[in-house]
Amino acid sequence: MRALFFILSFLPLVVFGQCNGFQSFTLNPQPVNNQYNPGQVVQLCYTMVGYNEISANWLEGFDLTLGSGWSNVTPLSAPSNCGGGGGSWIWANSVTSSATGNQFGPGYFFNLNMNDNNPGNDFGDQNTSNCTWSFCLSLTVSNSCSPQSLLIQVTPGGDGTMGSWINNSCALTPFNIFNGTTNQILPTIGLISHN
Amino acid sequence: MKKFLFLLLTLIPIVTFAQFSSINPDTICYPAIGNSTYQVPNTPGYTYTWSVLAPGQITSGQGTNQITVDWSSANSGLIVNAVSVFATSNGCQSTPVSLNVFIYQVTPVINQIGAFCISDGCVNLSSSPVGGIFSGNGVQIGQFCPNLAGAGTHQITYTYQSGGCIFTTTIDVVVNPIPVLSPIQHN
Repeated sequence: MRALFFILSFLPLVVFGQCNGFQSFTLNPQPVNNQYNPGQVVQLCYTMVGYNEISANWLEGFDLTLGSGWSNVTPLSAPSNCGGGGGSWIWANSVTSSATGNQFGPGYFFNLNMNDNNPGNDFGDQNTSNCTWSFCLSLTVSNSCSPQSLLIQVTPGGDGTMGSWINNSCALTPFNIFNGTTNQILPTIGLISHN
Repeated sequence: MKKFLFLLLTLIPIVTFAQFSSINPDTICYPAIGNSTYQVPNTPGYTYTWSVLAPGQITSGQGTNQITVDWSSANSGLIVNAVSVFATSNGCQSTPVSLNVFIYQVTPVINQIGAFCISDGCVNLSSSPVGGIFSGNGVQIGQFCPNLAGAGTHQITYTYQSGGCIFTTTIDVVVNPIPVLSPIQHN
């Protein structure tokens, strides 16, 4: 099937399609007034159900975009291999697509060839039966006194964009999870007293 | 029961705490002796950075919510923003808080009296500023009485209290004995 598409893909096809499935998330704890406090640790769990494999683009990765107010990100649980064709989802800080040369990461990416630990040079996870991909992260708010961006976006990408497939018809559409700021907490002190 | 009550009353003064005030300025008696203590309410996780204007010197406590300062080299007068502190937490800095310090000095003066004859009557003592207390040999209710003091040199002390400070000065007063004549001799 994918070989047939390989032939058809040489036809001019420049229209990018929406491939992302239904996405949802939880943030724990939830922000207060669209803000988190310096030093606070937040757990993000994200789920996408289904992936519209336009031009045989298989799901290659979830690229994470974080604002400058996040000082640390720790992967907690990776998506499961849904296609069943080998490979697994791994956490990577940087992935370069051999198809497009574009760089992604940090995020979870599908590594088909487990020997090279490089998700960018192979195919993605095939959506064989309306797959559900879920992962969780732990994010730490930086200790900064000026308000910093706490943007969180997850951008799912096909293997034609993030991996090695020859067609990149699946558009990169960021999914907005949070667009708040750090809470500016200035220390306060009372009057000086003396004896 | 009596012994227990006595023990209890004996221990009570031990748990009396030092009194702190936030009156601005802080008044220091001149000459400053010993260390003065300054503090702000403590918040866990805060680091406190103190600064003291010269010639004051921080002798202990930098980084904490309480410091001691030596003002012994300071002359009298008002030192504006003499003690300042700011807190740092998670890389954020508070607005600084300052305190003025007033090095308070009064120089009392006793108007000199004497010398006296031991037979002289009492004389009024005068001083400036008024309101202090005279003490010494021969002093009685603001007067110096040579006959009470007796012959010799006597030190009179004037103690003046103001603003929680005690200032003193002294003078020496001479009381001369009555000359004693030998009987007139004749041939």
